[in-house]
Amino acid sequence: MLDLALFAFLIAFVAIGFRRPFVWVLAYLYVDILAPGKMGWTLMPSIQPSLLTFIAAFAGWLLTDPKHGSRFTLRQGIMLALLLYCMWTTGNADFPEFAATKWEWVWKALFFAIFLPLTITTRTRLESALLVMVLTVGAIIISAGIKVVLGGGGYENDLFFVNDNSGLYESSTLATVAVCIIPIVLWFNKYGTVFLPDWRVKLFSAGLIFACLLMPVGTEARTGLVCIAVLLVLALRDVKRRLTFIVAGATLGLVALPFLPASFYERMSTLSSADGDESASTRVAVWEWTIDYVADNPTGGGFDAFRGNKFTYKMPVREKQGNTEAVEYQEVTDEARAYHSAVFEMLGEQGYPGLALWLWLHALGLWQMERLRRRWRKRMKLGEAEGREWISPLATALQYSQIVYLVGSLFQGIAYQPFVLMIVGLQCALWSYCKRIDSHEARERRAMRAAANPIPAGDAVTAG
Amino acid sequence: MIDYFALALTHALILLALVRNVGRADLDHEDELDDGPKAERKRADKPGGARGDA
Repeated sequence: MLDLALFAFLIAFVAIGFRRPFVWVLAYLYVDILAPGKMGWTLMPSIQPSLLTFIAAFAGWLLTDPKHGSRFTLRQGIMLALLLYCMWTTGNADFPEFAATKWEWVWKALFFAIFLPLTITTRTRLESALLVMVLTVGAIIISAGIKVVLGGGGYENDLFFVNDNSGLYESSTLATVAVCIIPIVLWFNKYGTVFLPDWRVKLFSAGLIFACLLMPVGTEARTGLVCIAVLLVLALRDVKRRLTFIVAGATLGLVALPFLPASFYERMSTLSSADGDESASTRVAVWEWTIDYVADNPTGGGFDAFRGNKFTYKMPVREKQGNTEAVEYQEVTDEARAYHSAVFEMLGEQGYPGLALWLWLHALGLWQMERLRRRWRKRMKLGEAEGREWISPLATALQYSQIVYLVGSLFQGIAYQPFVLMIVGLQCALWSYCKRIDSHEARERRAMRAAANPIPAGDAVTAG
Repeated sequence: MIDYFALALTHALILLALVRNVGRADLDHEDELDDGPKAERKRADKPGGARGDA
């Protein structure tokens, strides 16, 4: 039944695209985030929705899109360089088979992030892409959120449609992405034009944000809690009454505490002490191994190079005997431990050049969004942004999403997370859209100047 | 049941958004921005280009 319903939905999606081929780009966003191919059993896997929509999106743009306003930005160039570099390291990888498996999805995610801004040439397209992304990831979050409220959840429990730890269906990744989308949902509450912000939109948004906040609780992903804290600190930049915000936030947090499950407290309490937790101990050991590894291999070891690691470390094991607690240090040997950090993932797999490109990509994004935010806010105050009041808040929302991701990525190997690369693509699109406004206005100014100082007709005759 | 509810709600909203968007003229280009092909823009940019043509 679900199989058939998803199939019918996808067919409807593709059919609508025949009227406006841009819809196929949205179809790819939907398929890549939700992975309906993994949810069906018979029809969906056989038609390979990801490949189908990928081809449709690209061909539709290439053949039918007017492409007016499509521009290639510097950040797309950085992604292209990263893509080519990854291709090279895959060819020289330490573990060619594993590297090829990861390359299969990484190249698609990077390629689509480079391609996406070329298709987003209008405000409506930008909004539609964001809306489809938020609603699609919202499906996973709402379902998981309701299960958490009804008492389900817990670390490594089945909360999702697909429980194979892939893509967004990995609990820590979803917790991070859930917090990432909160600023975007808030933007829709004020500036949405597809669904005008009325009480229904506000009600849905409130429910969705609540579900997003529940993700770190439901999945017991400690990174998610750190992400929420980061978002609250960022929000202080924009709220008018900061003290009220802090007091209200603290009160809400305190009120929520009794409702949290005991297992959540236990897991979150390990945040402050890394020594008693194997997850934290291995992370530090892997990071040290990575630094040593790139000292010998500065260009990285290709995807999944972590499989070559092996290390022994001492981990404290606490044992309770009556009222006393004995701490015994045991030697633990680990091998092929994942990076658990996007920074070290890039460093180990792509070496210094790859890490530099990745950091440049994100640093430039933060700077560009900050510039747009300040510039358009100033223009709004001067009354020069009529009809474009949405730009500064959107730049802010996209920047906050990226910051939340970057903080989350310090503790997870999500350097090429496709959802985040889509956000990066939309940032490029917003940047180039604003550049177009600038050049349009410059043209208008030139035309006005020319109209104000016309060349005298007599001069024109003598000149001729 | 919960899965079906979440999927039905979000998919209905996506479909509604698509139907609304398809009818919008500003989906593919914005009149306010000069969206003409590059050659046209260059011609308009030339000082006196448009007047010269006229």
